[in-house]
Amino acid sequence: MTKLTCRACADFLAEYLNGEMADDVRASFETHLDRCRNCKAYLDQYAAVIKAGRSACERENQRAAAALPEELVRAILDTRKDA
Amino acid sequence: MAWRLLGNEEDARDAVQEAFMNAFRSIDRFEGGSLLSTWLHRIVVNVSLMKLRRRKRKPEESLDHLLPAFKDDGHFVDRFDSGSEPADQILAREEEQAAVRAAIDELPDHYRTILLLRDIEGIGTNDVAADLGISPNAVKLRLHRARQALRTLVAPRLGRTGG
Repeated sequence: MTKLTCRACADFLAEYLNGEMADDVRASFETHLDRCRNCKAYLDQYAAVIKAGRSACERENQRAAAALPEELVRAILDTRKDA
Repeated sequence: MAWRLLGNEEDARDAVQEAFMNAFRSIDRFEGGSLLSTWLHRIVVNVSLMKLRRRKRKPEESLDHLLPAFKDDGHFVDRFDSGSEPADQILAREEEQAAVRAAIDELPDHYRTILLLRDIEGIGTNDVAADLGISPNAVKLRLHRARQALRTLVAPRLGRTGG
C-alpha cells in the first residue's frame, strides 16, 4: 500500500468525497486519515464548507423566491399564454 | 444568484431582465410541474452563463494565498484540530450562513463561478466545462481550489479550529 502524505491527501479530497478513488488509493487515503487527526479535521472542514455553501445560497434563493409574488408573475405570464 | 455569478449589480439586473423576457417569450414551455420561481431561477442561471461566456476572458486571479501551505516533508503547516462542536453544525447557524455567503463573494470570479455552478446549482462537470469553454479537468481543479479557499476564509468562524 502506498503511503500518502498530507499534501497528497489534500489533493485527493474531492475524489474521495465523490467516491471516484481507485480501491487501492482509497485504502491508503483512509489509513492516513485514521492516523492523522489534522487531515481528518481538514477533510471535515472541507466537507462542511461544501454543505454550508449550498445551504447558505439555497436559503437566500428561497428568500428571493418568496419575495417574488408567484401569483402576480403567473398572471403576467398567463397574459402571454392567452395571447 | 445572478449577482453572485456575475459579480456586479448592473450585469445581474440585465440578466434578470433578460431572463424575464425569455420566460415571457417561452411561457408555453413551462409545464407547471415545478414552481414558477424555480423555472425562472433556471432561466436566470442560463442567461447569466451566456453573459459569462460572452465576457472577455480576464487573466485568472491567483488564489494561492488561500490554499493550505505544506512543509517540505508534506505535512500541513497549520493545525486544524476540531473543537468540541463539528464544523458543519457551526456553519449551519443563521449568522454563520451569512458569513459563508460573504466568503463566497470574496472568491475571485474564475473560482466563485465554478463553485456556484457545481456545488450550489448542481450542474455536472462536463456541462459546466462546455458552458464556460474550459476543460473538465480545469473545472475539477478550480472547484477543489475554490472549496479550499472558502474553507480558509470561513476558518476564523470555526473558533480555534481555524488553521
